[in-house]
Amino acid sequence: MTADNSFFNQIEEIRNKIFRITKRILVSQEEAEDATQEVIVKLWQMEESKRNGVKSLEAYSVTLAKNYSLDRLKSKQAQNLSLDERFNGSYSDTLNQKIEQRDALDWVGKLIDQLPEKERTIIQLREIEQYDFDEIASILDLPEGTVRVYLSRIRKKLRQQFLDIQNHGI
Amino acid sequence: MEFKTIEKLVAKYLEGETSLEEEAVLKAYFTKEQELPAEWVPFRQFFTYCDEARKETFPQKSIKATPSFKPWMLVAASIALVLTLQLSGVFETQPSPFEVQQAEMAFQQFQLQMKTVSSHLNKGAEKVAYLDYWNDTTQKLLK
Repeated sequence: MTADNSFFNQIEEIRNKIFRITKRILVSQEEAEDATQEVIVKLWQMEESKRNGVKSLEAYSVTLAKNYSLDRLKSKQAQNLSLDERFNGSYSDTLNQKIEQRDALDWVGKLIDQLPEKERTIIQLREIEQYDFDEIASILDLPEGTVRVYLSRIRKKLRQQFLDIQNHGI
Repeated sequence: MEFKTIEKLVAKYLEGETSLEEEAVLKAYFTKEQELPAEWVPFRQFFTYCDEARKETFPQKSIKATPSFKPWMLVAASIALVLTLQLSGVFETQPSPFEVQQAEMAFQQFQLQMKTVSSHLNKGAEKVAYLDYWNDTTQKLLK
């Protein structure tokens, strides 16, 4: 009973992080809510000893949430191959109009959301959740150096896209 | 913050070499500085977006198991009680003589009607008793 209580206390704070990472990967609010519930159930169903053996419940949860979302995305894309293309295609067509209508913060989100899911995940972990490189490396199961290379590429790419919009879009 | 320092940090940032602390310095600069060079404006928007995104929470749809007792509930309950008693006539004052008369008349009428119904019923019962008797005799004959 006390162990369960402590689990729910811990998960209270982690849940928001799980929700944010699943939303970043799945983009859809509704799907992110579902995924968050699923991940929490998975965590809860874990044997207590195993759960207590985890070094950091937060890092473990975020890893689980990331893997779950990527799996879900993959199975969705397998069902509907054109989903990604369609999204990107319609996006660039109406980009200029959209930017005129939307406020700046909104289109920053849009720009991030049209990155490939791996890049979205890295942005989420570093720029939004502000994890250290070693934490990100362990969550993504990648060497630290690779994470830095990825991040550098994404930052440069995003900055270029921002500047392009600034110069031509508005 | 010196322009040169920021310039160096930006270069480091783009190479993925900045620490979280250095990124915090960049964020503070970009969000506070009023006049940014055009090439740095995207950073302001980006860091502001990240600050906002960090605040997003899982939408709560929690259900309270047992609502705690609130003083206004006592008031609501007493009003409901008074209304119920009022409507069910507990507080009704003594009926007027006219009402008593009417009630008596109604009762007598009802009594009369019941007597009529009962007498008719008894007639029916007599016939049934006779039928029974006749039935018994038939049975005896058949045996």
